[in-house]
Amino acid sequence: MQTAGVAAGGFLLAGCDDEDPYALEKPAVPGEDRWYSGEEKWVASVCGQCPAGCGIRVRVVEGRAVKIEGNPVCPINRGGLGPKGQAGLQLLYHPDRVRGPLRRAGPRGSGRWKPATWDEAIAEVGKALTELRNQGDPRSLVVLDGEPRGMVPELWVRFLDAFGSPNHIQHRSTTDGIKVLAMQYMHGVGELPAYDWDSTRYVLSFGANLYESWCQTIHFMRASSLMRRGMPGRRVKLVHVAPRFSVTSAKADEWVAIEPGTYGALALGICHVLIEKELYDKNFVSDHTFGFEDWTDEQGKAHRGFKDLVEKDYPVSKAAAVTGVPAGTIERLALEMVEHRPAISVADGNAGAATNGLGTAMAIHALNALLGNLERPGGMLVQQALPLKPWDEVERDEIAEKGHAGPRIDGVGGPRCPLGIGFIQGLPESILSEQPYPAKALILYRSNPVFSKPDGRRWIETLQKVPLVVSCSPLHDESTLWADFVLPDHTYLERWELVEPIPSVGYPIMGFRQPAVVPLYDTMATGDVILRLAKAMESPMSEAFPWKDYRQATTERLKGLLEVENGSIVASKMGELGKGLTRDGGWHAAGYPFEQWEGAFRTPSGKFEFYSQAIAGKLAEVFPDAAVLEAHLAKAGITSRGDDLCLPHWESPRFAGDAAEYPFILIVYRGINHAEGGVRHLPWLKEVPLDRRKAWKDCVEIHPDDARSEGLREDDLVCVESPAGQRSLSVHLNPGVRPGSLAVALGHGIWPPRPEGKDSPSVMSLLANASEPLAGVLALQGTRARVRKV
Amino acid sequence: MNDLREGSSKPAETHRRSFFTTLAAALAGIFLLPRRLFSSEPARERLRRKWGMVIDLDKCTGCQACVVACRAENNVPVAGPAQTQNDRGIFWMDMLEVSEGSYPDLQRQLTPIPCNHCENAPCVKVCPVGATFINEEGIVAQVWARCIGCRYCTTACPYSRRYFNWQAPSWPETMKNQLNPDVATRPKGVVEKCTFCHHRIRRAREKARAEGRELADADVRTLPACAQACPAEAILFGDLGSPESEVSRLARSPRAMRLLEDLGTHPKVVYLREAKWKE
Amino acid sequence: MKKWLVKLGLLALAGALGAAWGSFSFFRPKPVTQPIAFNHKKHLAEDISCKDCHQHVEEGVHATLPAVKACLLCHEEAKGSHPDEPKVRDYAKENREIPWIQVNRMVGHVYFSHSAHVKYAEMDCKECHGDMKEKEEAVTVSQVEHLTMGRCMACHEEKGVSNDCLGCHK
Repeated sequence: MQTAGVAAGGFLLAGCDDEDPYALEKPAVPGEDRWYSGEEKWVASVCGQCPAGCGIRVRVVEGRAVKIEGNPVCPINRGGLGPKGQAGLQLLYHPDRVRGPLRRAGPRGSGRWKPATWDEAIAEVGKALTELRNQGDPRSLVVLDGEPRGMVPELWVRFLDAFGSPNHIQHRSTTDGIKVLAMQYMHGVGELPAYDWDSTRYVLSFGANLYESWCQTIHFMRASSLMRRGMPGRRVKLVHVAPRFSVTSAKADEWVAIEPGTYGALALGICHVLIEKELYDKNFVSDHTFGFEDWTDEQGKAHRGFKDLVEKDYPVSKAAAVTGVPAGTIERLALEMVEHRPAISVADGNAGAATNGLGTAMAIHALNALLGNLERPGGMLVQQALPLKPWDEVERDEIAEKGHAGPRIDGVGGPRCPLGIGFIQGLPESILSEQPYPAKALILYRSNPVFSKPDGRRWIETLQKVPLVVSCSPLHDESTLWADFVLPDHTYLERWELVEPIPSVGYPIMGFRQPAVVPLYDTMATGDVILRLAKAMESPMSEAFPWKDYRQATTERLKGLLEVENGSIVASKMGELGKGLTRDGGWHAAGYPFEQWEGAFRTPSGKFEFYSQAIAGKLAEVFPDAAVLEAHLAKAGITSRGDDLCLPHWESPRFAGDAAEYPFILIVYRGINHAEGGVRHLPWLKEVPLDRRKAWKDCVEIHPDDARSEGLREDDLVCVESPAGQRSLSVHLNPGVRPGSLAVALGHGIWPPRPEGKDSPSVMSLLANASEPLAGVLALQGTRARVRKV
Repeated sequence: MNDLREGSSKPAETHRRSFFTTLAAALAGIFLLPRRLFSSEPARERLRRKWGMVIDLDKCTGCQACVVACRAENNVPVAGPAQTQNDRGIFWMDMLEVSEGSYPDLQRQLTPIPCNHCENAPCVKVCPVGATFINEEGIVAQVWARCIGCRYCTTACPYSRRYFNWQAPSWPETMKNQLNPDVATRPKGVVEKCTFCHHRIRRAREKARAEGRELADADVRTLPACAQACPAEAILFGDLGSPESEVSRLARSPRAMRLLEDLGTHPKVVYLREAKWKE
Repeated sequence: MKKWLVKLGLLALAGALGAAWGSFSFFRPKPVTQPIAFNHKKHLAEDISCKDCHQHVEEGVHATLPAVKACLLCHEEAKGSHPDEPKVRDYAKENREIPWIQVNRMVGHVYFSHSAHVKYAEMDCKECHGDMKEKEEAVTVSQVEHLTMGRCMACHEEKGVSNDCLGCHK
């Protein structure tokens, strides 16, 4: 009857109490009074769901963000956008967001909080930090920063610079650090490489899940579309080498199955074919590389060259035996690469991270040099720096100088991690043992180590040991639970920011993030938190940050772009530049200057170094006594000695756990919908595993034959046990998993976090905390496991 | 109006029921059914435009951006853990996965699959209330308000592209903010499906009109949310009725195929086969 | 026997009418209070047209309620003596939009484009919204009455516009 009334009464329902089933009433949002009724706009900005920095356009209707799309003017994604980017709205409107600053109101981990005002929270944290400085102990402040590059990391560095702590600790050593190190030691550039996908003709991927969890996945997808169907008559071949049959394996033109941890041997086997048949780019090798042939140093000491090493130590037969890839295939791959130049050999930070990681990453990188495709069209490039105006240098006071004089708390540059750039996985040990010194304050920025690092439980103890823990997380994650203060960050759809995407196109590119909506809650951009913390502290902290706010601090740096003449926005005044940036959501330079050899390689020799003099130098610095180095290597189980350590080489991978007790090798991978777990609270992403019934479930994948012998069936609940921990997972039979291994996606984990129970806090905590002995990169592929039915 | 439970109801009730049924039918007759349905023109000739889609499986990377974009654009509710286990998740655009072989000789086909908008649509034929029909531009449409939830269409569709709302769609209060105002939310008990983002076509048409021109191929190339999102530009949209459009050109490619063509459904979603590299 | 039937019939009719009345008044929108008592009559008499304030009526889906900027074109300086008039400047000063309460809302499954109807079909606003020239008090309830699907379709039929469901339904 009432329904009939509506139908007859007309289509217009105003002020009716019943909810219209066809248009649900939306709750009020802040800033509604800044929009007129019916107003609709598109705001150009930058995605923040991963560090790739895709340009986005956000559709905003009456102050509410209702859709995110890719921005066609951004060269990284050209209008496309991945599933994570699409799901950004669910982060913005997530019901579990922290709605304002919080102060702990119960014991640590109790989850009891008392709201605080920003002024109170900043004043209190500032006071505690000032005390550390006044005690002359500034280095006991540790900042865990999960953002690989950008303005906030730079502000943290500046903050710690003035404060007097060397402990700005990033996540790289547990993610893609191994690739960065290969670049650093062979190229002299401590950053991920960029690639000229558009002109390449052949791609050989060593475990790089280019279509799922590559660092520039969306950029690669666009490029791959061009590789396959964008150039009539020319098709690029993509070969994917990996132990597990992934989406990338399925979509690649060829999938080569390989034993876990043996990519380096395969790369060196291919190098062997190139060298033996003299198919490598001789001009490039002689003009632009160092350490290919045997050489003698200034002291007259003879050194082994890469050529000799490959010829003698890595015959194809050995590579075939180690990797399980037939010798014929290895030879064919080498010949195909030569015939289809420019060809790119690409490593993956995750799959390559094993106890033999550095030699492996260097071997894969060396293949590029042999093919002569560095700095050339269709080859591997170095991402050029953004021409931003630098901030004025910080003037350190005496306290700060003293703080910086000491070692880093994670032991980088010492025997624990002689060649690394960070050693976050070693922090629990450092902090719990107070070696080299105690940590008294810890700030978490985009960092959730309890979930995303090994030894999750130990991280909980670690956080409890530190007297002051501050989290900047916008959500109540596993680590935030143990904090004293939560100073919640805006989401990326609510803040101003300049974004430096991780390397993609090679030429300088910057994203311009602008708020799509008025911040929903009483949150604050962490850039502003840093500024306000510094201002709340005494001199010289406050002087180091002379800007009004984060936005002003970053705008200052934009002045550098006014001097660039070939950018996407050419402006001589800040106003014009600002208008362009607001319109485009970013800026980029015109194109990559290929074959500019001057300064291309920032190594001691100024060339690409097969033999890394930097490695030799660092080893000599950390281990001045050869006997100590020998003892260290022997203890770590490294068999290579002397020059081989500075050359691309291969060691047998080691796996934690006894093979008899733990029969399976644990292979961890990142899926496109979960990555490392930072987006696992978004329902849209939870619901899109390829097997839809696996949505909302955390699975362990096992080969059907192995499952049969273990007496397991699909959907059985099992406990996966490793020497490091255990976790309940649901069985998924996958014929694509290499027999003898178990595959688990890294991002798996429940939301909201439940700290109790026997389970390890995350898949990461199943991994033994074992690292590459010299590079200090976590051996992600370095643990054995077993399954037990429950 | 035969009451099957004979003798169980009182005459007055029967009267009332038949009164309301007649009233509802009359109202439906007057207001709801489009006149075109009663037109004597043959279905084929009504079509001026034939919206269609080409999905290049060789470009597709199986990333599922289309799947998530579709859910975002069309206010598709999240199923949640329990409903997912019952296979009741709703995906207007879905990713069909078929694997075969044994390690290491494995094959896997990933196929993004929206409604095929068949010209000879089995779902339309079985709908007892005219809730689903082919519109004048070839879109197989569903009128939510008219659907009685009998689910004949979900059974009839050979591609399983129709979804029934087993529960009232719900969102956490804050997430209601992200609902697209251009698309109606659907109540419990109705069947829903892909609309080829017809609301976007409407918008594009208005924009073209404001600029004083006809809707061009370039306006609609990546018009639906799935096509817009696709990072590999594997999904193209356009007018299959016009032979010059890009989709028509691609539909004539030797790689072109349609799903279950032999059923005679005449899908308007054309796939371009995957082709591995050959020396 | 028959008398009894007639009585019952009458009773049923009365009941039905009552129920109909009840449901109509139940669904009658409750009046709202606008932040400013806007007088349409006075403004329209000043030779201001509808689209001067409802600015997107010819180019968008929504006619939109006026942004405070639009008001300021005339009300930058004090004008007249109405007690609500200075409020306009107050909102502008606070950098806020006037929180007009929208009373005409389309139901969730209908798409109605103002530009299509006003610009291209050249319909007069008052065909749906009534004669605002006579409206002195603030708009507190919907001005659109009896806009049924039948009316939409009849007009579409008459003007040769498509009655495709997807043309108007979301």
